[in-house]
Amino acid sequence: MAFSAVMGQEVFDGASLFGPAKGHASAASAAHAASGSDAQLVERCLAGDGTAWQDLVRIHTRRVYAICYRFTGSDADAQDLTQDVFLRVFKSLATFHSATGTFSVWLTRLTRNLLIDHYRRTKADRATGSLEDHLPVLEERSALAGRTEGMVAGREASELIQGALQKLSPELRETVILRDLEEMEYREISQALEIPEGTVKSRLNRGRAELARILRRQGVGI
Amino acid sequence: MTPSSKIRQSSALSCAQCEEHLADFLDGALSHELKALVEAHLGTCNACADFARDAAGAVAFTGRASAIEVPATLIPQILSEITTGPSRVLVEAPLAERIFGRWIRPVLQPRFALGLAMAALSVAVIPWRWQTAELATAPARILTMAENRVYRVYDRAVKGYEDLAVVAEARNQIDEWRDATDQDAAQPANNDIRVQPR
Repeated sequence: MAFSAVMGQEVFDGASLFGPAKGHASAASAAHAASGSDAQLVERCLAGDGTAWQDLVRIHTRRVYAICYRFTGSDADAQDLTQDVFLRVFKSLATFHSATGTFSVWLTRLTRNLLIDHYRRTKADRATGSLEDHLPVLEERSALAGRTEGMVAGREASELIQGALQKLSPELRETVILRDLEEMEYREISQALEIPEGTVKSRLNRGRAELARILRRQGVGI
Repeated sequence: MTPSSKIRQSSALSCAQCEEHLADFLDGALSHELKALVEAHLGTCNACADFARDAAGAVAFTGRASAIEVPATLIPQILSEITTGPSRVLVEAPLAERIFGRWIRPVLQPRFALGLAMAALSVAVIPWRWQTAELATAPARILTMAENRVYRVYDRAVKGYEDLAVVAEARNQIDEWRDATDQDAAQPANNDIRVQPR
């Protein structure tokens, strides 16, 4: 029996669900154009152009904040970390070399390193708060019981994913965030996390499957 | 031999190979042949099918999540750091670059510091070299300077000798006073000696 017949062609036909429809080809060309403009922007920043620094902050703050927020699950922490990331950028932009990768990847690696530092620093806090974390799950389970996945979208889906992401290990969490939420290429994720592409895909598969199981336990139909 | 050709030869995927291609399968990035092989494996392996179903479900669900909105105050806070805050000095070009332009930057790199220091030393030495050259061409001046030096040494020697004489005289005087004091102290003791009559 063909697998697509079992699962439904619309779900597992990669081309129709995620392929060109997700815009990876156009995203790649857009990313290439962006990397070129980023390189020029960095040049201007290093020349002491104040407006270039402001443009750099305006263009990249959303992405850095989104990664921090998805990883930490806290608005206050994400804001603090975003500011820390840009302070680090102000200090060390001269160490960025466009020959070794795009500015976007360099910035993602910087963000990821600060997130891992933050994760290690707050490990003790999470251990004490772990019991409280279980309580809202019961409420969510009853509230979402019987709902289908099609009914959950937008902000509600975003909050559910946010809660589920916090239960993933940091390695799986960062991979899922960078690929499925920030739509980075495998090569870029590989460079940012400094791991082989095969490891990226392996972590991504495990992270997605674990995320689905967590969401299902919360009563979300996956 | 490429991985694809290896797979074609075996004509069936193992679970590990299936997982290896799953991410690309879900992206729709596999060739028709590989896609057919993955589908065939998923049709026969329940564990991989469940795994793939979960992964696909998660991708579909995350695709429906709304984008994260940046708090309105965050960008102004970061910008204030470089416009009025302590990071302002980090993003401004150095004074030398503002005056001379960017071409001065390579010259100011640390590896050129030693060269610059040596150049400065060479420039500083030039007046001393000029003075030396001038002396070499003026023997009379050299003789005058040498004569002055000799007189100065002689005067210092005389002054040192006179100082020593004063010190010796003062010392003799002190010794005399000390002897006189000792004699005065010994005189009454001699007077007290009585010879007892037999």
